[in-house]
Amino acid sequence: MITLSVVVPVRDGEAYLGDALTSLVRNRTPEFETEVVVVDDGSADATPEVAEDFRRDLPGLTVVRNPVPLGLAAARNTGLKLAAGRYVTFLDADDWLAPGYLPRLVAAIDGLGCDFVRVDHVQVEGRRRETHRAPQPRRGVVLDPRDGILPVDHKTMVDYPYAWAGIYRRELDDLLTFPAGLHTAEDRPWIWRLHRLARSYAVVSLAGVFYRRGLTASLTQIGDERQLHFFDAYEMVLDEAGPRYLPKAARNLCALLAHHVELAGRFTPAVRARFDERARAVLARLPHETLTEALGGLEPERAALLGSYLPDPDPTGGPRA
Amino acid sequence: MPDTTLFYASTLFGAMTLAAAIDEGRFRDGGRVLLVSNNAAIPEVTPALDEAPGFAALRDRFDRVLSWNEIIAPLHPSDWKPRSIETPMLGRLLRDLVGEPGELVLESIAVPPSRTLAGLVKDCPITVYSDGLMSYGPTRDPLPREIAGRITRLLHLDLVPGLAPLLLAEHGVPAEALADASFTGVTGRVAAAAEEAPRAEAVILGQYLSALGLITPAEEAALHERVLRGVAARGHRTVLFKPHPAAGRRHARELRPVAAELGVDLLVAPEATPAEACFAAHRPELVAGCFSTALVTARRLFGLPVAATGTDLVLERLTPYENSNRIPATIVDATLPRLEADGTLTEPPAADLTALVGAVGYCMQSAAHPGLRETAAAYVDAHGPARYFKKRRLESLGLIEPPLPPPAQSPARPPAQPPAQPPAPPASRLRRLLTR
Repeated sequence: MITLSVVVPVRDGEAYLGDALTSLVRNRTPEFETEVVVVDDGSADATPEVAEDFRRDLPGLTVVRNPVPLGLAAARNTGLKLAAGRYVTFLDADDWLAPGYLPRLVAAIDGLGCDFVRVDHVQVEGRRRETHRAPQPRRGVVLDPRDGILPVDHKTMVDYPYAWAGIYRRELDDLLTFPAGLHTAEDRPWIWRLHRLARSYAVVSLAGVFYRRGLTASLTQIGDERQLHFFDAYEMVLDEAGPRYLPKAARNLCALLAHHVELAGRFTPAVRARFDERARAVLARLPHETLTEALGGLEPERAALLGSYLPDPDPTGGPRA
Repeated sequence: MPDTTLFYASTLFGAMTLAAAIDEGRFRDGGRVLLVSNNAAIPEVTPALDEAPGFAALRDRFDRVLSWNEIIAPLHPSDWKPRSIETPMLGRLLRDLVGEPGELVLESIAVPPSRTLAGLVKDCPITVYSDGLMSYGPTRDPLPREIAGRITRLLHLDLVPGLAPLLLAEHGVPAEALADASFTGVTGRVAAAAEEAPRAEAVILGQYLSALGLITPAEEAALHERVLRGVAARGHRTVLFKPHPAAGRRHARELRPVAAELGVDLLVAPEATPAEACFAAHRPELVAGCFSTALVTARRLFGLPVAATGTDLVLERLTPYENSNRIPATIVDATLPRLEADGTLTEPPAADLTALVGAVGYCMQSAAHPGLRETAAAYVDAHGPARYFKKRRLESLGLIEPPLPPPAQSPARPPAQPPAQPPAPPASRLRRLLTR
């Protein structure tokens, strides 16, 4: 019986994949069986050779390949389908793990017996490292995932969407599946669903994932159409949020929109036009009261960035930033 | 009563040097604590020196072995420095952990984590031990008097007999060479304990210069390929590649297609087995590389034939000029046979190594070594700026004349020569003619 499946999506990762896989070699343990599922999402570089080089040292290694890139969400889903472990975790190919982290992660979820366990992580830029804490002060106790969504005006567990910062019971099955077709922000609707529908979770103070910052090819730094997938992601969140959580979803959406407006200089004119259109459409979805509240929670100068996207004021007095 | 000696090491080579010094009785009796630091770019994926099986042969020299990375986790040892107002507290907490040291034994004193440790453990003398060939080069950064004034000696391997270490000489620190036999004795025991490397006719030592940004990964691959082609052209059919300890498996992977093309059986040494253990166990017919210290230990301490490739590229690329790899590269370039991809092996031109290293060392850190100015001036006069020097550095130090200004701004001068090759000023041209 395989205890843990590690899903490693990778595209054109020859420079870093070796570090990620080496860190998995250094996490091998006789205490339980681990399988590693590398999903090569249409790499055009030496990624397949790098993965093959680890056959001997990672006995539980499976490599599957999408001939053309389908995106991170689809790659993770491919890995999930193949994952046979009782638990599953994710490792992005440009990140790496501390030795001994996976045994501790498995011990944590085994001991707590909950549906999923989230952890802290370390962000790395060159030799500089900074620990980032999961936004849940209560540690090592089983909690209700729905209580991890609120409050609106603080960073909460849905604002810490990194799938790789956690371990998940495989039997959650569909709840672990990422929305297909998204090339960015795929983890937002994913974490929201998990928190709305899973039975139990916990946060433990393990910081064994090292997240490489400042990579130039990172999607968050490029300005093509894929960057707009966050609209699709938030449409999904809004669709499912329900009245209790809609204010939180609306606040997050407004904050993210303001962030994108600040960085809009990197959009081409065509993408910018599409952005403007979608921003107006998504804000028009929100009830006036919710939108007003959400904008009121932003710093005034950030709320002002969204002024041109707001629906026309109606006779009952709609929101105006 | 402080009776603990606190040793710091970041490489197995360093720990072997410490063990040799301990075996020679160079330290006081009492407790010995080894603080191991893993300074690789990603320590989490690179085994620390005490994880190497060969370390078992050294373990009994120390009462305790602690990991500096674990103590400061998740920070990187080469990055973290405490704020000075916090050093009393952090020093106290560290001494709670390791005991009250009577002596601190460090390498690479100018940079963290050694410098950090020297700042946290303040009240005892410091011994510095050498970092291979780097002990022949000048100290990388100026040291505060509070640290420099505590350094009582430099322990080093006698890798280049007759050459005196420049490291810490500006502070008047006396250098003491360890006996060859104590080091080779230690490497023999480490080799016996290490994971055995496969036997091969030749050994190639990998470098990891791309990690320092000095060359690109593609240039590094090309450099390794040049070495392999040279070794193969000399008729060696089984070749053991010894990757740089922090380089992972990339370099071996890149070499495999080249080896297949050349019909060479390429073997890869276990990651944690030091090069010296490969030499001690198998006595290969040729050890080739770029400018690894292990080339010099192979020749000097194991009597093996060695060859260097690509030192010209390294000397060209090392930046800034005071990069502490410069002296190792210079020594290797000036003393070891040069191997080309076609298999030709040529001895370097005879050089006055003491003068050369003094001259390069002066140009690297002129302020620390004003006494070497005459040596540098004489060397540059006699040999010109080629290969080991940069014209801009020599000009700024006044060791060569700057190029003539353009003719328009100096109408009084005779017609200008081609600007790329300014004429040597008459006096030094005459001197050069006389010394030929």
